[in-house]
Amino acid sequence: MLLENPSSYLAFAESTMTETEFLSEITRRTGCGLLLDVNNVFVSATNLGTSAEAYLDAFPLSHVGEIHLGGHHEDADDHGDPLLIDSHDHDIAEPVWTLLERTLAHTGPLPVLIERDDDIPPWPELEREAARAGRALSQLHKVAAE
Amino acid sequence: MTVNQTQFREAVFDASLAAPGGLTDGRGRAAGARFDVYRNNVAVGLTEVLQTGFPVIRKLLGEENFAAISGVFLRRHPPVSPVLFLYGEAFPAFLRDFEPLAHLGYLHDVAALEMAIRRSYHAADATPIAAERLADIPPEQLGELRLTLAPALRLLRSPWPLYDIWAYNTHEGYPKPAAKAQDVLVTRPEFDPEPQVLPVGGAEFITALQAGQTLGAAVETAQVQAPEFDLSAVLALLLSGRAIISAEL
Repeated sequence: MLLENPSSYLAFAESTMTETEFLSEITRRTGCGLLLDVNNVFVSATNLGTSAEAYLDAFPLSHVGEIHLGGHHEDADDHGDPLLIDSHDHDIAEPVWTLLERTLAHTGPLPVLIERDDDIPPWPELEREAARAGRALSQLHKVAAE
Repeated sequence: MTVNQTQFREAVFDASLAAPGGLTDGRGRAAGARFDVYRNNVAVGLTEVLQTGFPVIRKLLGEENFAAISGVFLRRHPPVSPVLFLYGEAFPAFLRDFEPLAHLGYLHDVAALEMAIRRSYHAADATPIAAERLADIPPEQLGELRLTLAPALRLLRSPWPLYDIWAYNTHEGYPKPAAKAQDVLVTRPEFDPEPQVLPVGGAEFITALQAGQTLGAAVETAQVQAPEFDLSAVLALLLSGRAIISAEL
């Protein structure tokens, strides 16, 4: 079983543990693996004013068995700050691709799945995203071979 | 300030409540409208379960009415199981008791059939007996046979033309239903559940088998209710539906 990191839209004031600590502890106690949704990392970090890179640095990457990518919808909260919604109805955002490459550089090749549930574009557009994820993976093989 | 799960759940289902305290935007300010994302996700998710699970009810009520009624239902009947394929068990009774729909008496039975089809789909696999198994039993012992039915089998009894209403709204060109009572048998011969009309007495017969009666006793039970009960027709339905999984003496 792979447990996935969520998209967060708010934080609990009373929380005494970070999400990465929580997920690490779950893998330690149960032996389950993790599914890393890189778009969710970006969505949560933007929504809560934290750093996606710091989140990934603290994430127990050795337990990741699969990576998800997806598009999000851009909205705003009561204060006009960006509120990203994990809607699976857009192209993958550029910073999310950067986070993917950053993650793969640490983990090595892993299965990557693109989530797209709504507002599905013509096939060539989806294929371009799949090919880009494929290139990010084959790039690793090249680096490893050199 | 802390927020407990009950408060969180109640506020998710009731937009007239303020977002619970103790929820922030990560920068120390109250979460405010951010909580609406969760409200929306829950309502949309559960509505989609109902739309997928009750396509005939959706067709009968129309898209707009169905969405509005789903909104009322999901707030009165939040999921009681984390397993979403079970969501909607309470929908048939809700439709029956929902005053604005009181004039559509058949909705309960149609919704119950759609739920039965879904439960049948997710029921455990079981290996059916071969038809020859029954032929191998000496005729004088047939009455003593005990049949076990497949977990995917479902039985519905209705004072409405239940199968015809379902089929008319599911299969292109199926004739318009005429007033009559229909019992419906759902079996799952391969991967998809298949509803069929049960001949008269069939429901009594199957109910008796499910209660553990022998084949002979079940036939008698059916004949009391329906003297014209046709055993071979009902056995043929059960066998073709691969719904008999053991036959023991």
